[in-house]
Amino acid sequence: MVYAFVIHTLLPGPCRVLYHNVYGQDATYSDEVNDAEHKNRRRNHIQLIANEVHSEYQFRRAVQSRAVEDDIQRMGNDDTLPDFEFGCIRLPEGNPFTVERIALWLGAGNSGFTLVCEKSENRLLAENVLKILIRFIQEHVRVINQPSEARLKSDKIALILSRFLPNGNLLFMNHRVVRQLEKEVENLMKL
Amino acid sequence: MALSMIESLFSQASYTSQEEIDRICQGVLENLYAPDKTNECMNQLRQLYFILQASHTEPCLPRNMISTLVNMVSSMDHDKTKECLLCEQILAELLPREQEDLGSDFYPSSNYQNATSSANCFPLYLMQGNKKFCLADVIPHAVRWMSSGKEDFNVQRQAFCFLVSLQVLHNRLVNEETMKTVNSTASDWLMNASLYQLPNPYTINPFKKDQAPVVNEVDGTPSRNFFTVLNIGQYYTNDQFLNIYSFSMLYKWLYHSQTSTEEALDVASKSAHVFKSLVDKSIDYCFRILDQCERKPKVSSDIDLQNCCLLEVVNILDMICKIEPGHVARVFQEVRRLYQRLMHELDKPRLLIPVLQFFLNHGKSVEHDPQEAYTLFFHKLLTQCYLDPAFSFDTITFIKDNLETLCHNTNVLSTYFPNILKMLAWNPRSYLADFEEILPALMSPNTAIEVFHMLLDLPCVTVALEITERCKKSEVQTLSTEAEPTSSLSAFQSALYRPMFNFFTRVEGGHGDTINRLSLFHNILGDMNQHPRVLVCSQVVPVLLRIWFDVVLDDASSDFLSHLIPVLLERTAFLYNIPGYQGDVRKVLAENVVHLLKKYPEILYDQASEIKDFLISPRNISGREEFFANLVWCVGELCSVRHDNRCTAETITRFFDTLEVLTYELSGMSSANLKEEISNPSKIICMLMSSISKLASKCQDLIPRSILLLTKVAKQQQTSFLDTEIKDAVVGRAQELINLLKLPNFANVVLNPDDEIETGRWHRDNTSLPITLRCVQHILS
Repeated sequence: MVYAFVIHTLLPGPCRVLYHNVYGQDATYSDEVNDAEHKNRRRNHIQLIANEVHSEYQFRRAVQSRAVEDDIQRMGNDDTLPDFEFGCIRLPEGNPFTVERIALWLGAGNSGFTLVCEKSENRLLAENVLKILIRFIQEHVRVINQPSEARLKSDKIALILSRFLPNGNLLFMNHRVVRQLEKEVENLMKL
Repeated sequence: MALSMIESLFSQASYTSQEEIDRICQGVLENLYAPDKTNECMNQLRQLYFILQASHTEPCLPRNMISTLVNMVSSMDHDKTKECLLCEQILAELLPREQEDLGSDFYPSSNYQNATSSANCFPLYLMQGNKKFCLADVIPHAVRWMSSGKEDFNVQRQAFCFLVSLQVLHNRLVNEETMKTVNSTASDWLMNASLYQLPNPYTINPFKKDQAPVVNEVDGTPSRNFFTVLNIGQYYTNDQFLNIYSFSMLYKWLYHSQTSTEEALDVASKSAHVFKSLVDKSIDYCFRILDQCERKPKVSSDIDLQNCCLLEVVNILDMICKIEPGHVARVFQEVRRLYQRLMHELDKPRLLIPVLQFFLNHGKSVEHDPQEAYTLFFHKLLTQCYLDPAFSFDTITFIKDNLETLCHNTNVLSTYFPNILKMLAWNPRSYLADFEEILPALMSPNTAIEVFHMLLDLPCVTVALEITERCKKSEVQTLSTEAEPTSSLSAFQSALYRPMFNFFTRVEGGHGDTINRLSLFHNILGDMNQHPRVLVCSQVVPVLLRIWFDVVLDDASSDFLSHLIPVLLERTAFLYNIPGYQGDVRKVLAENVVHLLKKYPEILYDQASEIKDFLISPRNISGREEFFANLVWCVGELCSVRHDNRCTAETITRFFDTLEVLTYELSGMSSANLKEEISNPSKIICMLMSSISKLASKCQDLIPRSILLLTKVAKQQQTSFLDTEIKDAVVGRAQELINLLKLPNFANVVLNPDDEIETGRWHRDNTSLPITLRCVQHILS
């Protein structure tokens, strides 16, 4: 089970979290922490991770001198997805979570997609599933062209996640399984 | 445009008033079941979710709104799936909260148990957490629904996901009985999924054959064995989906269960008995997957899936062998076969990492020597793939996880440290924290000095890698032997400098250093010193250098440290020129030369000639004032018979000679000349005067010479063109020292206090100098 899925902006300006879904609590809940503080902390953790990805992406762009506009332009021409930057960021024990977790991200243009994984997660699979998620989110919400859509059409993203990342679980999906879930999503999308 | 829109959306949402929120909630409640208002309701829900995520303090939602949301989630009405899912998201944002808010239907209670609606709420229970032990209360229900076989697919699936998530997040909550039940149900799902394809559920075909076709293998041949995630069908049945879920969650379940039973039981045999049924079935399943991965898929995306499966299978088998070591022999053979295969197709480097981990964990019991695999990995693969961010991340994780073993039982780290450090040179931003941990393990008595050189030159390694990569694309093979190159790129193509590039990108350690021509090389690479990768790399070096010194000062022998002195003296001069970098590194070196000599003052004696050679030349001061000054201080302070009984009057005199000559030379230089070379000459002169006086006070024959020197310096400085303030300070200092040296016995006590001065006893003890002085002063006045 992944801890969270996040969509956020990348360059330029401050990093904004456009959509996030958290699948569980960080540590065993203690009654001492009050609920509001707990929720606040949860939100801050997500922002913190998005910022990390943002600055890593910024660095990658700087060393490659690849411009955001190129990505967007390629997107405008046809429906092919741009080349994604890929990376992993270690979130060490105690900062920000009580256990070590790993943020695995893909980014292109102005949009970043991050899975916050447990250490026991299969990262090859996580990368695979993340690509599938991006493919369908782009298809239904066009998030890479218009990042604000992720903010506004959260129900569509929720639907895609509920099938391809059910309860935050990474599934081994062969191409026919993907197709079957895709059909299910398409039908539900129309309702 | 798109981004400014986001900003305005955010500011709008975060300033929404409570009245506005109340209005939205009211709208949702009214429109939710009105058939003609679906769109309006959806928009209101979206808006609400948006506001919730954007606001810093949680807005207050009416209680009936929350219970409506709970009802939506638990019903998960098919025609309103999107709405229900959005309600789930909104609730997840609002949890955890007081249980009273959530209504009585939220948790399954003993008298009213609707499995379907509770199952839909499982994800929310996880968000609510174990408040008042509510999670613990849900577990028995989940176990029953998962294993009874009476519930529908969705309930079984949700219950299983819930239990696995619980194990991942709160692994103390799941007890042994629960584990046993989950184990046996999951092993049943793994082995007994139907082999037949589901007919297309979207069409009604009246001429349907009685029996649907069996599922295929990835290469298109019909399957003859049990169903796995790698079987292809047009559509999948629910039990096949349960199979997919079971395999997908198997490793996490085993991994987190195993750690929890380890803590609880402490005995491998007992955990073996808990996992008995699951372990056998899992091995069969994994072996079948290994077979299936040898087939060639018809669809390219399934190749990726095969790779994911291989990674997972090796991890599962590793875990199983930990739970039940009896299986090692059989499993080892299969993993080894996989290794042989991967060895010949090196396009899947990441898959080798779990295999390596497996060898490392279980090789001993079958007397397998993993050296060959290490060499393949750290020599060949790492050289090829250090650029790949995923590969380098996995490799560093592997090294970190096995740091103890790799460091103490193998020589992998100390042999291949140049290759390993390349990952840092390429990704200095990402891996600093990891290398703070790894660095000490790369250092052995034989390699520590080489590691030191490599750290100092790490920005050059970055440049070399960057240039090598660029040239890979443009394939220039012939090396020119002509003119002196003027840029990094042309240096790479020059026969004269190519060996330097090869040296900096070497694979193994133990090849000595190339200090000759180093400064030439640094100059030629000058055009790359503003590259962002190089800049960031130069910022991480001082951090790692400090760690290097900490390790060396803690663990290394005095002999090693003694040999380090000439290296330090040499390297202070040879550093790649990046603004700020030289200064930062020299600062670290300057600090640590003091720590080093303080710890082993006898090194001053061992390395006396090197140190004197360094100190005699004013050229060595320029750019390195702090290091130089610290070294002068060390000589004055630590050269004493108290620290090393070989330190005779003769030794002291020799050091004195060196410092004396230097002081005369510096003091005699015209201040204009001096300022050109040294940024702060008066500091150095003061330091020299102090050290000279200290040496003289230890060997009283030298006192007349030093008084003469101090007098001359004071006179020369008096006439110099320094600022009056500085001039006064230097002259005043000289005068103080002269006065002190006129009373040799006092000078010795004041200039060479016992080490105990640091403990503070001197300020309290009746016989101590300050107190004696105060008494004398008291009597006299």
